Amino acid sequence: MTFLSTILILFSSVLLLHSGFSSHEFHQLLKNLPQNSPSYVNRQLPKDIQYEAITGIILFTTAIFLSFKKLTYFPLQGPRKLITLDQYLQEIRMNKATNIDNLIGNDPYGEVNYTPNFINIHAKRAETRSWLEQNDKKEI
Amino acid sequence: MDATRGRFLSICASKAYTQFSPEELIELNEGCKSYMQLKDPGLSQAQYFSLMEMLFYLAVYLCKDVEAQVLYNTFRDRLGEDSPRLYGMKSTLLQINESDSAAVEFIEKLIKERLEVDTDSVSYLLLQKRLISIQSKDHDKDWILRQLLDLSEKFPIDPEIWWFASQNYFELGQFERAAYCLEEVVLLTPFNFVAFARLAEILYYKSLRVDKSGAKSRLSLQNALNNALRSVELSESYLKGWSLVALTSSKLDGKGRVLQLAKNKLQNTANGFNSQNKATAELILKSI
Repeated sequence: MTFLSTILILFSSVLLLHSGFSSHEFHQLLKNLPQNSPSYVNRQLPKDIQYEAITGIILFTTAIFLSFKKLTYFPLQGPRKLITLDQYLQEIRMNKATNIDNLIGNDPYGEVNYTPNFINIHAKRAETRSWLEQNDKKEI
Repeated sequence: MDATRGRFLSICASKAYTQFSPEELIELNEGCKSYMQLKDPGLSQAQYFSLMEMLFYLAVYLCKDVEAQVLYNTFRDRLGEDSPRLYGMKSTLLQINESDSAAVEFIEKLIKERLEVDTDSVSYLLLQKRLISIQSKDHDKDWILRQLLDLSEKFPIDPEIWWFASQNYFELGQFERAAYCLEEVVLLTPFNFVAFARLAEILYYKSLRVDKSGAKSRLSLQNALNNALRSVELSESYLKGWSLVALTSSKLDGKGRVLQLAKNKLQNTANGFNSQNKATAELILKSI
């Protein structure tokens, strides 16, 4: 979250809370008036409270959008180079949503396609041992 | 921090670490441990446990048996022993600390005494898969396939069984059966673009090595092309999908425009960010 968006969120929250409190006070005062008085019949929230609430909502929404950061990714394998596509939100359409997976080398169906429950543990361990031996690493 | 967290969670969720080389496993193990020590507030408890489970299997693959045992004990003390994943972890520990027969005995006893009559189908399926995996080294591929088909009778909607069966049929050179198994996978996971590309690949090999007549070979190639196109329809930048589109369309008559499109897409990949994909795309473009 950027500094500007944090300030805006705080300011808009204050505006919303203040307009809510003002509205509550206004209705409390209204309750004390007799029901046939002209002020009661033409009861309407004062314009300044309405404008304050609307401004608060607009600023809050803007601040939320400003808080988004550009999406960044690291590839799953290979050199750790930060990848960014200048996007703030992820794609919705299926054929584009998987572009990031292809870019970082991720298989979203890996739990099926890599058959992880059928992995031969001994073969994996033997591969590691032989790699460590080749690289003269005594600590296993 | 978001990118780092995303990387570890993607590796964990896709189980990509099962395919990593020892060097990558070591890098992942150290990186993940350092990350977890940072106590990232954006990491939920469920994600934290998933990463812990990945660390357990990394410790197993890297022959760090004491570390794996400590991680298992942590899980057991916090969550209890009665969970499919804990059963899987325990059978793995028995395999490495004692022997395969001890793991088989543990699984068979659990299945016979509890899971065969229980309603816990998740544990039953997972342990049956582990059992096949452990026993497979003493048997041939026909035995493995018989076991897999028996299991698929009980769990016909588990795509992993069908994928593994397809892999075994492929290794035996039985392309038609391998393709049938993959058709089951794409029925169960209809957006699995990787499975569509794999199906296209198997049909491509079938057309090259099994089909004798020209008409039959063309039909297999056309089927391979259709599946490759479905793969890139689901994922527009999938390198393997476009490579198969290019390969199959180059062998079929009247597919010049499809071939040109595939070449353009491969060229885009060759100009992209991913260095591995770049090299592969360039190689394929040269060979076509």
